[in-house]
Amino acid sequence: MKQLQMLLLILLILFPTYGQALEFCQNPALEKLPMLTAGRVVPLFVHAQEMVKGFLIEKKGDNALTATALYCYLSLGQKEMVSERFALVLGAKVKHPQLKDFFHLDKNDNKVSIEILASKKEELWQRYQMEVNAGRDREGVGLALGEVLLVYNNFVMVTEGRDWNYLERSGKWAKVLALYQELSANANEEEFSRIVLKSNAYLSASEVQSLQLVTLYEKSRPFATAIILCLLGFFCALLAIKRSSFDLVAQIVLWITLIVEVYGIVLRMMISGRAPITNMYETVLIAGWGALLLAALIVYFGKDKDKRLLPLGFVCNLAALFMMNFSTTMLDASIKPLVPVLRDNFWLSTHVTSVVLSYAAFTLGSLVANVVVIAYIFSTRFYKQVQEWNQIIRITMQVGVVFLTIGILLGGIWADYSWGRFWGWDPKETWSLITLIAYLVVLHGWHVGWFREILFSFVAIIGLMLVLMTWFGVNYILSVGLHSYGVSAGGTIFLLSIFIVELMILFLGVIRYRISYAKAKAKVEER
Amino acid sequence: MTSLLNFLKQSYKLLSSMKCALFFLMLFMLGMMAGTFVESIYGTTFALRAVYHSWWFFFIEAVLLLSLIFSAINRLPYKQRLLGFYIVHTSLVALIISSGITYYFGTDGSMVLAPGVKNSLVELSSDILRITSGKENYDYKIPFSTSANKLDWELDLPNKVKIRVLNYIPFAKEALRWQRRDGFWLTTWKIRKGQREGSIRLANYFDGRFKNYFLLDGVELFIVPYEFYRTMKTLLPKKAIDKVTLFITKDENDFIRLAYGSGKKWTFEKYTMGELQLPGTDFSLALLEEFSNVVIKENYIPEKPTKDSNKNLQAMQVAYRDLQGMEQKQWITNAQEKQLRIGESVYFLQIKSEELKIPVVLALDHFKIELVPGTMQAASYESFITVSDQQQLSHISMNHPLKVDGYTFYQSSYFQDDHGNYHSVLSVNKDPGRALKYLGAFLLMIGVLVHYLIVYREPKGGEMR
Repeated sequence: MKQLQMLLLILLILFPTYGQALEFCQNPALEKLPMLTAGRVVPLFVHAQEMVKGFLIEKKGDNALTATALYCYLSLGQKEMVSERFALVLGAKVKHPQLKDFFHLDKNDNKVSIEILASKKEELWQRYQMEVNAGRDREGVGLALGEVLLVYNNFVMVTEGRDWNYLERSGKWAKVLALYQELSANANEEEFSRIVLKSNAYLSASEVQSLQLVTLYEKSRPFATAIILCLLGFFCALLAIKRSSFDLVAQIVLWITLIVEVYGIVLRMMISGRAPITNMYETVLIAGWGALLLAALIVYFGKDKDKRLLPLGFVCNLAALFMMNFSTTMLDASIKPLVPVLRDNFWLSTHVTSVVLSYAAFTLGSLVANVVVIAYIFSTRFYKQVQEWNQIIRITMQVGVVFLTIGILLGGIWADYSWGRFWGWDPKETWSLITLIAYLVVLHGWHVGWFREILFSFVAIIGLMLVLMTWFGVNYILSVGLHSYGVSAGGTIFLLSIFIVELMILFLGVIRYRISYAKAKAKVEER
Repeated sequence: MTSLLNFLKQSYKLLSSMKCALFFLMLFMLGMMAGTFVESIYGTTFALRAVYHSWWFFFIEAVLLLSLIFSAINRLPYKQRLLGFYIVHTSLVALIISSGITYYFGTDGSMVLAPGVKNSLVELSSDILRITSGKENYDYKIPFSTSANKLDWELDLPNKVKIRVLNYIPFAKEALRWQRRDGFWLTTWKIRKGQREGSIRLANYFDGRFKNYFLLDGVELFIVPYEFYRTMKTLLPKKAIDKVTLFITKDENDFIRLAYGSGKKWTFEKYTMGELQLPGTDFSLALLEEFSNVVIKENYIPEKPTKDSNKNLQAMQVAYRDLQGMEQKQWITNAQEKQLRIGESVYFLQIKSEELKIPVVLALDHFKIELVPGTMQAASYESFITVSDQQQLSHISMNHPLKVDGYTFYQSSYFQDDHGNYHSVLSVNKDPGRALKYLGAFLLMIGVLVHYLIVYREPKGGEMR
């Protein structure tokens, strides 16, 4: 024991920085320390998580190392120590096959270390510039290169101390590493800790507010809470169908869920300074909320007040929330700056919101259709209720068509205003028109007796696949080209799985339909 | 006559029916789906030509237009519950007609502004064959297609010169052919003058791509026949003192021989591999490769483009008679100009984007770009332009276009050239159908809302909706 103490003492004397940085980085007060990044003041734990997420590719062992502590170590020059001590692998994830070739990786290998990145950075950059000049930097290998370069650059910025800043008394933001080097030269670790942690006192009122908003958003995790509320709501709404004693409870949970989600949406809006519909994550968020809201409106203000729709509304919202919380590779929850073309807030808010709400309506209707068809597959006695369900599905389709039409028109006007053309047969535009026309065909066809009864649910399911193709398919299947990358990416797997499941349901439904049709025919002929 | 009337009546009935409309709507859908997949595989240009601007797609759209009109007319006299329907269909008709107006009478193209250079030409999406003779340009419109086709044009140029255009390949790939020809010689040289470096090709035959001479700043290079070289030893060419000339030839033993000098001072030697510096100049050259006794024949074959190919290669084969009256065939592409000697004159041919001269002259004063901190994304970029004779600089950025004389200029993108200068790419647009489109869009939104307001206000006894 004494020998160990001796050793520690020697280490502490010989490597003063080693010991001091160690203590300071584990200080829990660091989590809420203000930091200026991308023009906003955020708590350190948010920024640290964002950075570390990119370059921490493996954490062997189960050390309780927070992202903040790791970020702190790396920023203060403790890169080697922390890799050894906590058995970490720092680098970048590589998923694109061409990029794997570039690094001579196996097909199953998807990691490349920081050292290798450093040695190949010139080539990487040149290759990336090639893609930028060809206009291909937002898709395929160009996008993958950009992502890897971003991770590498972030790592370099952090480890060279150019990233972490703190607020001085003068109101200016200064680099933490510079202060650390200055003070640790005189072994003045306590002074360093005191100065850095005092940042909070020098914030301006708006900066304090910004910090509080971000902390509130990240700590309260409204969209994780919403999952629990939704599950509760689903069960209450289910019970409320048969027992009216649960009506009130279901309503209360419904409104609480909606309010919690609105709270999250408003917070996101205040933090980002724009409407929350600028990336996939946000469209899923608004669509899920919109579906639950639409279900609520139909149940409580519609003509028939059919309570059976409410649990399905909760299911839609749940699906969205699951995707938001667990499909982190496909959906990015962070709040990022906008590309120039999205900067005009009015068109952004109206066009995208309208289209996303239409997706919500169509998804709700298709979920109902799925329930109808599945019930129908198991028992044709369910057939009698189909008419009532069709009413609900039709309403969702009508709502969807209205919002999609308005959305497409607003999109055309926005495109004309920005680029001088209303319509360019861009895949996203074209698929939204395909979806709209499909639903118009269904709604018009209904008037001439097409798609009656169970067939209506069948086409609603086909409609869902078109909506998903427009919403996700254009991004994950079309834009990366059909021949590369696409199949291994999370988004494509997600889409293809849903398509397969829906096609199976349709297939079984059609078989059931043919059987009962044949039976009915036989019965008629009998008579 | 009655059979024609009957036919028209039947067509009207068919076109105003719901089933016809739905059938063509579904065809339209399938066409669009195909279009998106074609674009994903073969790229936008190909998809536009193969699907969205193809004759069959236009036909479907035309049928839908008639269906919209006739279905409304067929359901007159006016019924209040159909008000939404009338408005919606009218607005859709307005939208389709305005699209037609834009397509046929509008301008849609791009303009590249290099720093400080005046430009009033808009590049359109259609292509032309440009034949230049002296200062005159003769432009011929090339058909819009996706596959190779035989054009068989006969073009008449001044001085009784005729050129025949044989075939045209809109999406082409180079497929060089080698032919054995004794005595033919093609060489590639690396040249250096001062700080500048480059490579040139010299051949002892003239086929429009390769020359037998090269001139640069007081230095001349020529490939000459060996007989001529031998006479030079006795009869020195009278060359001015301020120009250095190099003659290159191949002797009967396949050695490369050089003769260089100026004025009366000449050197004759065999060329051995390596860099040769011409005395009295800062010019040097070295042989990179040579092709002896073969002729490389230019050739192009059709190949579908991929999504990633930015610039599509187009090729066209022309035939003409040369000075000796022999028929020659040559390939013209959009990659570079080709010089042809037809009859007694020299012509330059190239496939280019069709250009439209507009009454507005723009020049890029400077370009401003901001990157998102910590990323490689462009946060914003804008161009500062001088317009025609105006003193003040105009400013174009994303979401803030410039409108002059009925034309609208949008900041489309940018690129950096080899010297690091930013060039601004503007999209230029004149849309005579714009007002009608806005009206149609507005009416459509009203119509949709009116329809559902009427439908849902109906008493319960009415048609179940």
